[in-house]
Amino acid sequence: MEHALYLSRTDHTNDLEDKYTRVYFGAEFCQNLIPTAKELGSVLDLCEERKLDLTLLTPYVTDAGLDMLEPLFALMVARRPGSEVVINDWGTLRMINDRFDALVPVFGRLITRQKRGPRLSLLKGKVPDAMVDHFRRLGITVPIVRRFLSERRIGRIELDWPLQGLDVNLDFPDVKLSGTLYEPWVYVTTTRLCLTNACDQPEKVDRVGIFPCGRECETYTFRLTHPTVPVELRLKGNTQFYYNKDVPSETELEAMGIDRLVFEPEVPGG
Amino acid sequence: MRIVSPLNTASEVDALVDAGANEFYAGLLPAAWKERFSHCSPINRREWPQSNFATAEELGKAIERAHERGAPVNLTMNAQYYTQEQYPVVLNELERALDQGIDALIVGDIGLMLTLREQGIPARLHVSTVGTTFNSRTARLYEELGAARLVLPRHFTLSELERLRASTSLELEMFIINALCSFIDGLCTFQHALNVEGYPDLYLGADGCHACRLTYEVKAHGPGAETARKHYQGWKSLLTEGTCHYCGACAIWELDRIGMDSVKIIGRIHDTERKLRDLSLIAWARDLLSEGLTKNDYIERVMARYAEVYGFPCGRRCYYPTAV
Repeated sequence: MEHALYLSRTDHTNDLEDKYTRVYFGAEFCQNLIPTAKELGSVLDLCEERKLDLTLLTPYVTDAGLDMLEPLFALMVARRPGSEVVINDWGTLRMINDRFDALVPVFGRLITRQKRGPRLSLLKGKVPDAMVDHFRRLGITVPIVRRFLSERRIGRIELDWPLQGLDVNLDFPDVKLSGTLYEPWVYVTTTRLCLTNACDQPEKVDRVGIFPCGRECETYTFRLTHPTVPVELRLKGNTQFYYNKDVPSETELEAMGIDRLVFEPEVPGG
Repeated sequence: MRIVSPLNTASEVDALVDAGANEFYAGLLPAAWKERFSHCSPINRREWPQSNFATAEELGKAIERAHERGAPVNLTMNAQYYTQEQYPVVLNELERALDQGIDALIVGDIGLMLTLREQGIPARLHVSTVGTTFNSRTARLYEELGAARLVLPRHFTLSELERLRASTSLELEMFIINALCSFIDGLCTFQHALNVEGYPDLYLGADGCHACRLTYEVKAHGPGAETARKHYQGWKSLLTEGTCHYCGACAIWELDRIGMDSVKIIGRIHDTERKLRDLSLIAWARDLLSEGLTKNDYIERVMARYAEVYGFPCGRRCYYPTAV
């Protein structure tokens, strides 16, 4: 099992224990938080110094977001060809395959469309098994999709362990796929109508839309609870998560084809 | 600019066309699916029976009448994904719908798009908002997969739309009224419809249907946390409470200038009366373009019309605030 550390900020390196051989860095959820070339450069320096592999996280993006990613990809090709890029947008995948074949695309945990809503864990025993199964399985592993991904150089998919569990075995006869599991923070949902934007300015409460970012997510987090939701939701920036440390053993995960664990020391995003 | 209206029954076709609908979209929730997967497992992102036709034959009657009135009917098959065991049911229902004369399929799952192409299924492909087309490169990917139209995510600024419009010749469609999702439809992993008919154990309370709309207890952390908490709760209530519908009618002036091809009224769950009311605003606003008004005059007229139609002011709950 490979162990990687999710590095939310360039100065959060205290969690870098020896067991980690890879760093995940970047922005999965918001294009406003895509790192600068300077920030990426400092993480590349860190990886060289500590002999770590690097995986760059990227979010869903508009064309302006693609423009921001392009120089980062060029920098990675120049300094660390063969590095991975987690994509959460079909356009980003296309750009990598068109222009950056020295980078390795990885299928991100948003675009997998894996179901994670915490109330899905309430269904077992109450509805047909086929329905429960649906929410524990992935559409991207049907043969025609995994072939499509393979043709676009995707060999790894990023996963969470949701409360309802996951029914997956990546040992396919036709396509080689490996899995990554993020823990303990499980992604739930995201928005461009950022609920944290201007959250310390009460006069702006009636604004709903996409507005200039003040990076309030670096300061504020929100805890959301409701009697019908079995876990606390954590809002960081534009994205919600929940905490789930109850994942299978490494041996069990490896039997499913999940051969990498990414540890998130804090709520990602923001 | 074409107006795409929801459709639930054959009997409402004439009234909706007369009110300005150019095109329809509809869902099908067949018995074969309900029996095996239940209706709260998604076949088309509208899990409620009342949002869907129950049989292909009923859908066929509506299609026949719509075609007589010159309006195409598009079928939503836009689950975020289908698993392998669901494909036989999906493809069987698609075949039956196509036999009834469906004009296009609205699809969100790339697996189903690939399957349509591989099997040579003769259907016009509209990529659902679930397809999360946020940029021109994604548009090109879908074009290669055979897409004729992209239904865009709700979360766009006008300048982003303009750039996308300039980059693709595909038809582009935007939502225009009702159900402004707080979250991005294609990337949201909450599940609607857990108030399951026939499964009372799952009843989660009157507001328990959508996890995104619950009245959460909120705690904020950070300097000025109490201000932030109040802001969050106020913000959230804007999306989930009150009588005003989120609306983009004023933005039709800008959407037309940019070159959007169609706007879609959300509301497969609504009755005919509500659909007609929405059309009486949206079709009116579309037709108002012909008067050549300035943007400000146009917005003023549309806001006044909103108040007439719904009986309360719009409250500036805007789908596209950068348009106004």
